[in-house]
Amino acid sequence: MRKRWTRWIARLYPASWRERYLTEFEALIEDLDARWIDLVDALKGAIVMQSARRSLWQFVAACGLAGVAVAGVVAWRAPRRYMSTAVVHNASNGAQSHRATAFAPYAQVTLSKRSLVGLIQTYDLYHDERVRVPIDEVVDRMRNDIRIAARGSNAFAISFAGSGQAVAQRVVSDITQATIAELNVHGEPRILEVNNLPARIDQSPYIPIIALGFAVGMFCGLVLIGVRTWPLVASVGGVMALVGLAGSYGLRDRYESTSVIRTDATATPEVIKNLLLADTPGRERLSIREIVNLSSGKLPAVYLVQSSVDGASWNWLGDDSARYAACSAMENLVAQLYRRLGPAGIEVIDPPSTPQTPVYPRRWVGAAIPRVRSFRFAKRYSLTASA
Amino acid sequence: MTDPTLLILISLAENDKHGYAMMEDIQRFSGSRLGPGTLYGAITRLESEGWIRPVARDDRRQPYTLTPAGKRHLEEQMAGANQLVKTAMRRLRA
Repeated sequence: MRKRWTRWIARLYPASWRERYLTEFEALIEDLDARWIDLVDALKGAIVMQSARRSLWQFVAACGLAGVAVAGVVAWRAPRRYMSTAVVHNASNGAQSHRATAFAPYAQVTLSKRSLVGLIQTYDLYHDERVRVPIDEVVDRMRNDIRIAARGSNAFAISFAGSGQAVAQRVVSDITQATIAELNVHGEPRILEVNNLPARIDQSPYIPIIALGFAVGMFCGLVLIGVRTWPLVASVGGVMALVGLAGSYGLRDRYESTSVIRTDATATPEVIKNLLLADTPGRERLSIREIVNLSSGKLPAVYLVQSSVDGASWNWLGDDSARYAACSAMENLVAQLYRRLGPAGIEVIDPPSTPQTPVYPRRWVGAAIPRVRSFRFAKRYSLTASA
Repeated sequence: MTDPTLLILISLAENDKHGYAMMEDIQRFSGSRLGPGTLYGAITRLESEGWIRPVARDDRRQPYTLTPAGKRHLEEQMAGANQLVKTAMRRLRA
């Protein structure tokens, strides 16, 4: 296996070099008890040889093409995704006609963690991801696969892109039914277009993945040229990055917990904030980062509340106290609201989440990705509501 | 001393060798294991400098031999290294 890979890497050497040395290089690989480090060494040799024999842009373009080849394999292996769509019309029972986008908060209710976890378990969605990442991230991923878009003045479309045709159809059907159940209180919803078994693929993954592969390949080519041309700068940069990473573990972590609540329209974000901070235990460590009203007009308010808690947790000791402190602080906040507004004045749609990764400091890019995704989720719905 | 080109020249100073034999010999006398990419990168450089050249072969393995220019280069490098060693030892004894 390793010998075969090493022989394959030999094809990456310049053509003139292969003409002269390939036969004896392959004989060496045959004799060698090849290890993984030999494979890396052969690859390094190919990169050095190519960069020495080609102009800068030829080398960068070659790296871009190598990126395209890798991305092509990734895109080819990516599972096909099918999108199912249903269209819902709502005749509002109020005098004022609401824009279709104003109904998004009701979809938000049906997209709560509780609701989505139920769907994920019922249809065994995101099977591989559930093994690797926490359920909160899987829920965020599913929210990104669900789209809600206005169709005309009083209708909106609910779509879900999944890896199976029948599953995508059933998921959209369940979300639509749940949204209609919510809307029934405030309007007269009816389904305009029933979601059929999706025949078309959501979108071709090839073009974006291959474009990304080309860009990443060219970037890697520039980095390799930089490392070869300015080894001292590259070494200093690498050492500084490692020192910065090690130093970041001495910083206090800040975790953020999120909850979605529904109250009546008189409870503005300012009123909620004053209520929350009045006499919440441990408020000196607490900051309410964001209260977003997800609904508009005369519709009952749906708020997305995000609170941050500074914690002195030590990552390398596996200290999770700050994570739980953020969740506990958020529970206290919601309990305060419950006490002030009474059981009839508040409904908790999404209970306080237990954060998995700190919002600050962002030590690894990988750790930042779920945060970016959840940020997009919050913004998408807050923008929709304010339209 | 871990410069792969010098290690190859030292190995070929004994007798003609092909790639795999060079790798084994270098590991034996220096403790360094050259990877295939490093070895052939150095062989390519040495041949282009005219310090080694291929000799007749029986199979796919290509043996190399030291050229007179390569021998002179190795002697110069070793003389320099020898001077460094002498200086270091003298200062350590002082």
